[in-house]
Amino acid sequence: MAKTVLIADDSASIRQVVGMTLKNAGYEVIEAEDGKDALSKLDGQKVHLVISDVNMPNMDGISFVKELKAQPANKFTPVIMLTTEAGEDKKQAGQMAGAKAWMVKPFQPAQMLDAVSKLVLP
Amino acid sequence: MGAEQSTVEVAMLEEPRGGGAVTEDATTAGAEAAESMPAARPAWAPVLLGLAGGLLVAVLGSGWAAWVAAAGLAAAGVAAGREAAAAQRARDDAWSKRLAEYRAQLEARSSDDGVAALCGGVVPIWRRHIESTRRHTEEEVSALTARFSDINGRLDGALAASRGNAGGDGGAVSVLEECREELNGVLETLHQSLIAKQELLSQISDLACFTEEMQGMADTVSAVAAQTNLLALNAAIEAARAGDHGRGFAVVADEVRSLSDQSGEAGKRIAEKVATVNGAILATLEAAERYEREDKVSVSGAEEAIRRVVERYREVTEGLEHSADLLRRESDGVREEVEGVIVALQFQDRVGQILSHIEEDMDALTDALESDDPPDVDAWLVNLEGRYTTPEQYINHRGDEATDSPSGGITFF
Repeated sequence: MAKTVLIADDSASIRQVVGMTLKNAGYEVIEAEDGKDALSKLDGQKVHLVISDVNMPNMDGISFVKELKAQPANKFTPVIMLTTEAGEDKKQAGQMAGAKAWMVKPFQPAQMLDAVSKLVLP
Repeated sequence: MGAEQSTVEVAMLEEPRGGGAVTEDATTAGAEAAESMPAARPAWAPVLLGLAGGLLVAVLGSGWAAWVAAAGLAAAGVAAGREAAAAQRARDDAWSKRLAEYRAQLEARSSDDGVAALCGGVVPIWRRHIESTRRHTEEEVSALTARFSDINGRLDGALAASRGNAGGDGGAVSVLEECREELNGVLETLHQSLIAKQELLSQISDLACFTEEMQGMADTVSAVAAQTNLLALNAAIEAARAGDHGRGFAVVADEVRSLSDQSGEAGKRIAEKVATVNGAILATLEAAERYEREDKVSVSGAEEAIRRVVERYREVTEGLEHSADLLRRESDGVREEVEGVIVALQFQDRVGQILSHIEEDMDALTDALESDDPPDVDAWLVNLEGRYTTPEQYINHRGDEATDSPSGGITFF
């Protein structure tokens, strides 16, 4: 059974790049435009991994990850923050929210797949 | 905006002449200046009055006293004229100074108001242009990314199909190997059949040897029958010579001779049958040997045909595999290039964020222009920097030298 990955990013091109990369590798992908949209699409259901942007309208990535981790089904779901920000304070905020990795854009598809395969739960 | 700017320029030009201002402020100020400015009076009037008085005294009067009085009046007139001219110059200087000050104030006010009005009008337009550009860029980049993603997916499919057709399980090379093995199995079966036929021939040859032995045995039977017949004949002769005492023995000799005749006949028939069988065996052996030779030729021909077919098929599949390998290498290269393009297209996300921040700052600038309080520049810049999300924004903010395009990295917590 294919693993499900949720990608939350307000940039359609980033969603497409991540989606293409993961779908070609056999993952099922759920796309969301921001944190609020992601929570709505999850609707409390478990996913195997979440990739989230930090700066998004309606609900930013840090707030989204905090709410995601509060859900029983996704308490242990690994999260990769995918952002243009590289500041240590931002990284620390992501780590405190419960993220497992911090990836700075632009990313290489192979690099993304490597990180996903390391973090996705069996 | 253009009309306002022109009216300001007209006011600035018209005001020093004391009239013709168009704007409200400029008109009022210009009118005040015009009203408070005294009417110009000629400085030479007292001189003329003095000279006229002196001339009248001189004409009406008589004697030197009248001429002295006239001279005095003229001198007084000239002196009064000098004082009036000096006072006029002082007033002119004062008014010139006031006009210069007013003009400077007017220019300053017009300049500030003009820049503010310009910004208030043009900044929202710039913002809309940026927003429109950002939106179009995002739409087009998204479309480009989708197309390149589709190209990449198709390339992967083509590569997988190429691998399936040329090599791997079910590929041409694999099928060739399977065919070769199956055909070799057929050839092996044919060879086994030939060997079995050779064994059969050997057994038939053995049968031919047996028939020779049987022929000898038949000959032996015939010879024994002839000897027995001869012995029976001799016994009959001896029985006749013995007379009545040999009569019974003569009967036995006849029976023996009859049996020997039958044995000789049987031996003869056996010899004939053995000859017939031997002929059939020889004919069969000859036919079998002929078939064996024909089979050998057929198997050899089939083997050669199979070898040629397999060889030609191998050449075709090798060519196909070579082409497929070349296609795979080229496709891998194209896929890498496409992936590079897709990665490069991520610039849109960074550019979009930077433009969004500029839009937000333009909105703030528009609000500040409508406010009476001047903005705090330092606080403004701190707030602006606090909203940055990309490294190049910090670099640009500080005015540092631009570096190469940023590359991503990953940190595991």
